[in-house]
Amino acid sequence: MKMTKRLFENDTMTAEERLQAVINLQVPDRVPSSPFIYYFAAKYAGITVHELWSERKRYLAAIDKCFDELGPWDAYYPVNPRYPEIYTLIMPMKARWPGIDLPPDSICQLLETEVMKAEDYAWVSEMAGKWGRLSYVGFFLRMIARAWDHIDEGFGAFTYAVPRMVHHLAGWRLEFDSWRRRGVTTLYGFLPEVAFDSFSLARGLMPFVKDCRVRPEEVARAAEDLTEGYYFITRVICALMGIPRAQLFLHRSSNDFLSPKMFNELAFPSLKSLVDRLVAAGIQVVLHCDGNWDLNLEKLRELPAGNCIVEFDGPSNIFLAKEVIGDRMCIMGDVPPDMLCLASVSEVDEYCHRLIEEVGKGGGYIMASGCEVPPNARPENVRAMLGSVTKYGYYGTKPREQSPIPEPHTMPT
Amino acid sequence: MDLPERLVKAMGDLDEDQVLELAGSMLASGAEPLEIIELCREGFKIVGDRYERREYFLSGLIISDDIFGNVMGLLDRSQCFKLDDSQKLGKVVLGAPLGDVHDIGKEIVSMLLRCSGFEVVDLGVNVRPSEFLEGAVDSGAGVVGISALITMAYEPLRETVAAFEREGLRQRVKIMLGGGAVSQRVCDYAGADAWSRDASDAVKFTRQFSGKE
Repeated sequence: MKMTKRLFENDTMTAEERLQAVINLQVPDRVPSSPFIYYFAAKYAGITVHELWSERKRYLAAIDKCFDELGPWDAYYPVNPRYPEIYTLIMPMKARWPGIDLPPDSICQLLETEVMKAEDYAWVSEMAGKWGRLSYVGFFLRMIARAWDHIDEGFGAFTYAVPRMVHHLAGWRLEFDSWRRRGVTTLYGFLPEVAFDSFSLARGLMPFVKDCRVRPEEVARAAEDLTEGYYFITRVICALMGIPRAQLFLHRSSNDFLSPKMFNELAFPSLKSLVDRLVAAGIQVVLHCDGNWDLNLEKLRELPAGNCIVEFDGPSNIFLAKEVIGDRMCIMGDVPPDMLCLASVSEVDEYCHRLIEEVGKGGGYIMASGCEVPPNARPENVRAMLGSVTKYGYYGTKPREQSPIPEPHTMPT
Repeated sequence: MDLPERLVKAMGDLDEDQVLELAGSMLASGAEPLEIIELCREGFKIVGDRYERREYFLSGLIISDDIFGNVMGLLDRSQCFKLDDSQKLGKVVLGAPLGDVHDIGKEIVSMLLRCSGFEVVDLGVNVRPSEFLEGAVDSGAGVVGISALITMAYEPLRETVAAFEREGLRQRVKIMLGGGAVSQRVCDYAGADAWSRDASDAVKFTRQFSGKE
């Protein structure tokens, strides 16, 4: 289904054309936006987080409310897991969930426990050799059973997780189609953590760092061995979702955790293998880079140009990133969470203006929050962030006051 | 370079084999375990300084803790934290605020503070303002460190500082914040004394607040 609707009167591109232009490092009609909104939607819509993730209609209504009243945005940023266990298929960690282990209005919190054992690296490499393209499934079925007491290992994990994953993906596909009809594209069709960072999450930070010291080759080899499985599942799910883009989470590869040497030698090789294969298969990549990446930026230049978005969450110097990788990668972010919660509208407006002027210079930039829009962000600050792309973000035309083009819409249930 | 100097250097260089060999040699030649601990702490300070200069990273801190732990194993780990009061630099209360159950940041700061000679009273996660207050009063700690990873913790942070104000303890107890959700803006909002960008900052502030620097 081809997108034709434009979001604003002054727009000369559709949201998808705009997104493609910035990924390809071309100059679009204006800066696009793609806010990571999930928990915030619950608070803004006056429902609990438990209701947000457990009642689909309420989730859709809450996101709609954000879009209609604070947006619009160009690219939908999907995160909503239909089941909490689905989360574990991306981030292999034990978690506490609102309405289950936490008060209903809390946010999900991940725990640093050893879901994966040190001896599992050898198992991963052996399993990947046998399972090949299905090694992602093999790895996560073991992890999900360890993260949740009610899920058995092996076939039990398979029969539990797979139908739920299929149900989840079917819901995503309907959502993405609906957004497309509204003139909004979707940022990505699947969002795996990269293998190296999956190990860090599953082992727990301190044991993982020790692994990188005492068994570095084993860690790096296991990450490399899983590449085939990560590539295959990403390619299949992106195709099923109709979105040829994947987000790769990099929660634990920043300089906050790893030295540049460790990143270069242990984390980067498997990351590059995966990105190269995905890009070669026509799938563009969003690197979700949490933490400070300033000393890793130069290395990122080795990834394929004109096919990657690098998303920063605040600690990295996004202006430095523009200088170092701006000629090769689209940059996304990074209105800091504390700014969205505590600053004034004028401070947000000023920062977004600077982002557009400096990081958006010549294209190659997407306006977004630094990681997630916090649940307690001030709505007027979120509106200021999203509004900045029409206030300051047009290339080659004078900005003027304008309203989104209205269109009745319905979301799938 | 004599054995003690070599031990300090090896610790600073994160050279575990050297550290264990030198510690073993010193023990065999009659050195007191506490002397070896102190030398390791000197080496640990080098690690902290290099971390501050971004020559080392969090992985380096964790590795140094691992080496330190192995030295303690050599000496009898129990001696590490059984220093008498005159040998401690001070007491620190640590915790994650109400609503936040993440403990990794707190664990790292705790590790660094203990290795630097402070006694840590760890209140755990999801700590109420009243529990921070009780912890500081009961232990007599002069510094409270709060690690927050989520923005939902901003109000509990502010309430915790207010609780110390209400009890007239703000002059005696310094409050520092840290964690991924914290910034100068959050520190100002909460009314805390300082915010630490990383674990090394936390040790620096604790030393300052304890009058040990």
